[in-house]
Amino acid sequence: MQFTFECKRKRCFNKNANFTPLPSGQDGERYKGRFTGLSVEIVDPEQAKSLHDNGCFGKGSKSRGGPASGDENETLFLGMEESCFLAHYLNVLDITNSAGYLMDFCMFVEVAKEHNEKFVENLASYVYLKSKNWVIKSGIKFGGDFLIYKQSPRLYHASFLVIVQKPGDTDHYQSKNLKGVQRVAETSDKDVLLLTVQPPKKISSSRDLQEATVTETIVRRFNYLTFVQSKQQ
Amino acid sequence: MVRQYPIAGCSQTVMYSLDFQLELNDFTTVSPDDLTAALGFQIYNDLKNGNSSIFNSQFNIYYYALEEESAEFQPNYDPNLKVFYLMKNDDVYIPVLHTKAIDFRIVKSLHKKLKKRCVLNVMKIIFMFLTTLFPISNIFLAVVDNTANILYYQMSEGLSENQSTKTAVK
Repeated sequence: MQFTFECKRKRCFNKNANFTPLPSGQDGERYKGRFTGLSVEIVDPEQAKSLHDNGCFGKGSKSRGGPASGDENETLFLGMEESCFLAHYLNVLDITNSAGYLMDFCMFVEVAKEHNEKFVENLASYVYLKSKNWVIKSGIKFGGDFLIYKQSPRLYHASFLVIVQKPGDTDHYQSKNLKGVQRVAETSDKDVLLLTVQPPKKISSSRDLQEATVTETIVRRFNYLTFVQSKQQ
Repeated sequence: MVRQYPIAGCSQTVMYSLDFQLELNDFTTVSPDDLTAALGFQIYNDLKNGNSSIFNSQFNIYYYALEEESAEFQPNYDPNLKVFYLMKNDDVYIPVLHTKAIDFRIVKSLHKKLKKRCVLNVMKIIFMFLTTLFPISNIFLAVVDNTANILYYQMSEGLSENQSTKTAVK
């Protein structure tokens, strides 16, 4: 059964703002990022603004959204998945480590897996959602992996709280866990999107991710009384 | 660290300022790995006060106030418990990466350890005939993700048995 949903728009003064989903990378322009041990940091203010304006990537180091504090020292922090996407799928970002060397795909994935054992599954989910043109943000504040928006978070509320799991994971299918995360999402008018990812057998290049499979499951509490009343109207 | 700053419009006069801001290297030297240092530095940047420079237009000079607040932050690493924490006065912040499991046993052990330290300090103070008492440390978990989103959770020991009960007057 196909699930239908509405994307909830925010009351925003700039309703006609043009949204560019991805950086163009024209004229060979490449963004420069350095891996800090925790995230990839874009120091150049113009590049930081460009990345955030074209796809809403990253978060300002002193702001809730893009770099907007006006502080000249503010930088842009990119999450691991979006950094990998920009560097090794869009090919518009160069990531250097603390020693100043470029990090290739294998090196980056190895470091990212130290941070998160589910990084490959998260990356597959990220690329999958990006292929559907979602804006993807951190889901830490709602207990999930990602929050996805139709367009800029300035214009729309998040539609789904995304949880990524492996086929063998059953934690989120336990009643108390599922009810917990669903309740958190529901109180902020979101639905829960479970992405079950079968990872590729090997991940030695970015193209290996093609072998991954992603299955969607959407969770919404069913209210029978409301359902009956809506049918009677 | 003492730094020397030129004053705009005055080529000869200079001012000195003590800069107590912690840098990433201050966390690297006490942390077991780069990730822990980065986590601690992230929390420090989130907690410290804002910009302390003040512009005095009348005299066309800049001067800097001492950042006393940020100087009170102290990065620590306990090798026995294998835990890093940031301490400021009676508050303790333990950084945790959002993808890692939280070991509450370590949190509890650290709390007990710090409580013992407070008790010892109190005994010293009593011995010195002083009346100031140090409060027991507050412990906060700081859950951090890769884009500097930080959630703070205060850890408590449980319900207080001495909590008052208000009865409505009929």
